[in-house]
Amino acid sequence: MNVETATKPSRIPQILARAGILYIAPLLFSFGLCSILLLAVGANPLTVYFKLIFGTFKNRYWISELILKITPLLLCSLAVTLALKVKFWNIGVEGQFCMGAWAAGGIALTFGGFPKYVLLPLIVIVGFLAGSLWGAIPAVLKIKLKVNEIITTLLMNYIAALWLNHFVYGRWKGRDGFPYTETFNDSASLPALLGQRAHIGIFFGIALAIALYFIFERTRFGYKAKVVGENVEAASYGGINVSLVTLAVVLLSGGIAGIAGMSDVSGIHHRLHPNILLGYGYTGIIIAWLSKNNPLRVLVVSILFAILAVGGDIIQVYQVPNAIVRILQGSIFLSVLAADSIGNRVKRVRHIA
Amino acid sequence: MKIIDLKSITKHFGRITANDGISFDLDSGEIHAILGENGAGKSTLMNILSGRYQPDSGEIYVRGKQVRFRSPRDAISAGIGMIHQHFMLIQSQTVLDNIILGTRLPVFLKREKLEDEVSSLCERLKFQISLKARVWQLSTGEQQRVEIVKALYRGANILILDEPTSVLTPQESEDLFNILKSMKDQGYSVVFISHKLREVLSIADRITVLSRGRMVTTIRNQNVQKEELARLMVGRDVILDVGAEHTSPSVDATGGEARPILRMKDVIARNDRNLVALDEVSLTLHSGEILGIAGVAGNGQLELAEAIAGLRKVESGSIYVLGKDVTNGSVKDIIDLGVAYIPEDRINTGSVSNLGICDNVLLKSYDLFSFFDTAEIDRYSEGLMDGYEVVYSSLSTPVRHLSGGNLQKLILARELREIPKLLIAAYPTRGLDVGAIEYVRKVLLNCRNNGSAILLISEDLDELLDISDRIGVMYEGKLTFMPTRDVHRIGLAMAGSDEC
Repeated sequence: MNVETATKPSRIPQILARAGILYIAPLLFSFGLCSILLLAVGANPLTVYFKLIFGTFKNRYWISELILKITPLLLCSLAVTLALKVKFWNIGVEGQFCMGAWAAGGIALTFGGFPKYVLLPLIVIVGFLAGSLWGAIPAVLKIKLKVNEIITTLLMNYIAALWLNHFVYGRWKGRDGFPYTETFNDSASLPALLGQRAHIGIFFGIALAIALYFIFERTRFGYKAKVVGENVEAASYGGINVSLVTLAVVLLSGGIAGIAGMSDVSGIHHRLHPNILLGYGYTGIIIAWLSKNNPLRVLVVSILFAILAVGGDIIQVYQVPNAIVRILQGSIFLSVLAADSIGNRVKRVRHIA
Repeated sequence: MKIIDLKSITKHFGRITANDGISFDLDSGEIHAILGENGAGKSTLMNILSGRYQPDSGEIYVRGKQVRFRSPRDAISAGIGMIHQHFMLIQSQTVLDNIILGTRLPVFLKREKLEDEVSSLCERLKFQISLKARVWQLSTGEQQRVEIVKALYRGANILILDEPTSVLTPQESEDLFNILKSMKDQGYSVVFISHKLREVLSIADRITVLSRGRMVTTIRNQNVQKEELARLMVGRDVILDVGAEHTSPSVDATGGEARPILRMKDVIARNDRNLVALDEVSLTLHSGEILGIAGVAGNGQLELAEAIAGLRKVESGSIYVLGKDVTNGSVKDIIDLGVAYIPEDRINTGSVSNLGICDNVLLKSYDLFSFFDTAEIDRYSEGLMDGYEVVYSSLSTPVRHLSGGNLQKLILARELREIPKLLIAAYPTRGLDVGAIEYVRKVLLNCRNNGSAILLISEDLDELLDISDRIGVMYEGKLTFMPTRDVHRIGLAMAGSDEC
């Protein structure tokens, strides 16, 4: 007995209103707050914000830089999002990123002589597997021994970073004696875009975002993962193999993080060095949270974060400290969270009947 | 003397009128029951009285003075304490800490003094609770007593109990009634919310019946008949005895030869606390037969259901369904054999609260559908929901918004999408209103008549006697079959006596 359909209004105004409360209001609030800081350092907030947002699109160089930023942010936040679907808090994306980069680099250095059409696919696959296996360790520990994955994934990030350093400072150190490897052969580079530094890694990200959305909305596996994430007891009651589904999802999540690491070294750095770890794994957690775990929203939020990051570089030209952008990011995060709980309260009042 | 007087209280939630001009009064030293089906407006009315909601119109008088409660705090300071269905206790803290929580405390606690105050209050009420025990160590009945002491310690002399027996065993309910009676003798006033006719008749001085947000009547509890109350509550005649014919297990209800469907032999299993919960349980269940399992909650009934469904590891012994060994087999294989399971906990086990109706309907048949075709899934779900008269607003509404009865109907619809070979039903009517109980029992009988073997676990002896063909009693993990339908002897077996 469907009692409401007859009088159901269109959902579009409702969606717009929600977007207004959840995203636009907090964005305006954060920009307003940072205006005070900008005025304090003697800058005109309006010019700075204009440069921050639109400066990126001024020429090919900055657009290419934007794409370079979007790629790892998008892939890492998708990795976090995916694992969160089965309520697995993957704080270890940073480490899986690192292992993906390490393995891709290792292949590039060892098999540099292979032709491109063999080497590149090999690098992609090994990058995926390395991240995947690094993620598998905490997953198995959680499934078999109920070890809290937040702790294990976090701690394994440090191990991964040191593991990378061990090779970069040690046996893979280049001939000029600095802590980085030799430059990879050209055959190990991802094809470039726009004639700039940007590379095709972005397409992995976009394709995965759409694929993941599709998997969770329209496949049996996605359904099982959703049920496992919402209620483990009901999942077992429905005959779903909770351990298997969790493991599969985390393997995929780690693999995506590995792809992110692979695409950064093979696309941008073309060598391994300790500074390839820029905290994308942690930013990914924030993006996943702000996107409410929806892969398509992750795509949008990653682009916004990338614009802020690249815009931060641009506004430095105008004597505005990059730290302002960090403050802006922080205040956006906090005010979106606040808007979220206010929005929930409004919803609860409506649902109370 | 009227201690509370509510005058034509009206409360709307959006389009829904939860309370429509309800008047209600409470004498001091009285137990006044509010009876009504789920959704009749009982809880809303009491939430208004306890300050959680404000009425849209109407007046509240406490001891003859008109009041306006802006928050529960106001109601508490007027001496009104509410005991919710779900306890508001901190599990890891001691009883004493829970009781003093929320009262105005000095910076430095004088524990001995507080302890004396609380224990003298307990003594007066003849409660025996160890104040130093942690809440998680207490039984449900004891936790409820802590809630009562908590309310009284804050100065309440009017107690509102919202469906207090829904979480209690029959014995614990008895204890609660004795407590309420002795409180009444000491001058406390009690509002008792329930939908259980028997309870209301046994304890209330007056009964107010609500139906669909309106007050039907208030009557004095003298020579009131159960059937009459049920009629007032539902608005039509209710057949409490659904009229099952008890068949002998050798011939099933469809007239064919009864086949053994479920066979358990010497099954031993442990509960979550690692204690033996099933102690060499053996049974054979035939098609077209309802085997009723009686017992005080916590004697292994749940573990029995879970072991058969494949959700609990069996230590030794064997379980056969349709001649196939399913001991410690996968849940999926057991489902695929045609085993349906209505779990005790419909919110946490039987459904996924945050997902919509379709996703919950698919929980047992996700293999049969292509998830590309959402239209087909919608049609299928809609068909099942209509067949079981589930009331919902849209197929994507999270099922946590469904009422208890509707959620149970959804689970029934899913589990009985085709006639199951074996149906395990654990407390299928618990917490439901009279109309829904009647419905569930009819559905169970219908399944039996179509050849299902049914294992019915219930705490309601009347229900078991009404519809089961055989009755077994579980006591401390042992299953004993009763040669008789004598309530007295079944009761003795439930208490573990050897006399039967």
